[in-house]
Amino acid sequence: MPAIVTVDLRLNEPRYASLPNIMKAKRKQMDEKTPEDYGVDVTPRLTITKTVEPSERAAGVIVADVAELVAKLRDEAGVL
Amino acid sequence: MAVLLLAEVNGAELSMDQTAKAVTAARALGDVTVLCASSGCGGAADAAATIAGVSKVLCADDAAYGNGLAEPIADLIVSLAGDYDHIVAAATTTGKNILPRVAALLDVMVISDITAIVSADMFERPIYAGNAIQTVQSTDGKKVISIRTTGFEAAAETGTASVEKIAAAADPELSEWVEDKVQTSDRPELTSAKVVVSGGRGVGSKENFAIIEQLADKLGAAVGASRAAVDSGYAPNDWQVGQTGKVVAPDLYIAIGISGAIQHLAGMKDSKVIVAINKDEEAPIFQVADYGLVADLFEAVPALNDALD
Repeated sequence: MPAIVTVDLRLNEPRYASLPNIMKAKRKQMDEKTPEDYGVDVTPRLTITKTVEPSERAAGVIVADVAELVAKLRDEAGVL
Repeated sequence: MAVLLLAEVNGAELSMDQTAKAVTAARALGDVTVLCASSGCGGAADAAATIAGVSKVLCADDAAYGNGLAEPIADLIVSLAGDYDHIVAAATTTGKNILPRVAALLDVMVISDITAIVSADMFERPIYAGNAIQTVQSTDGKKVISIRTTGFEAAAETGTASVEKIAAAADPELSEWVEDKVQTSDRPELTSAKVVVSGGRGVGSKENFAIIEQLADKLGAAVGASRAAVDSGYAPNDWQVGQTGKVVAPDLYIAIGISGAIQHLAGMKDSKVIVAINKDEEAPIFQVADYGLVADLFEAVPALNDALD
């Protein structure tokens, strides 16, 4: 200890803050600190050079029934 | 430039598919040295040596590495890090467990889940659940990178690299292995399967999932599930495909009773051919599907099963 733990999203049901506790929280004193207070360097080491949309998939076709689907997969796509 | 690639080793066996794909990515960065860290990993090291483009394999055979614990393996990597500019691994649960610790110990950033390499310090990675591709440039001296293997072809198994045994680093003894609960299955592994059949909320129950499994077995496919299906208890956790689950890119992906939430699409839209079976013709899954079938899955799937005989 101390330890950092990551959890699966289905680990448990989250607790929600109750109204009285939310009210109490508002009266708590909050200390504001900067990274310098802890001697931490937070200069970004990563620069974002560009952000683009991913290539879109071409629209597919709607098949009428299972037989047509199997035929298309076998002959057109060649994946069966 | 020198690259240290952590091989994906399960027990004593090399996960060839993941490692070979990671090698393809690592080769673009420089001279690739593969590190196999496990207990009794001689066989895995020999297998890694056959991957084309690998110039050397380091084999750290020690009981401390046998269960893939992040703490001892991260220390081992850090002890070797001096000779390398890039430290990379496949973005699997193991890689994603170990690399952040390595990066923290080296006081550098981890660049996660990259899908393309632009240059030695510039990489592409998906953000916003795959809705955008970001190009980032790292100014760190050493780059610690996890690779989304679906973005890279597997390197051929034609290499003849030398294998060098290396001594284990001191065990930090920060963690202790208790047990692994392993689910055994005859089906192929989800992330490397050529065909994946996935079921969603529309399947309706755990019992009904049997028809998905039946179809998967007929196709020699792995079984996947949407988050809705896993949340509802129809399918186990490790079947989940999507942003919070596994990212797959098989040759054929069959989505059954899956509406196609963006978080699910993030995990499968790089598949070569996508088939969607859903009774709601408005379902967003049809926008990414190559072949859509608007039908009740309880009629369509058994019919598909019969048609494949």
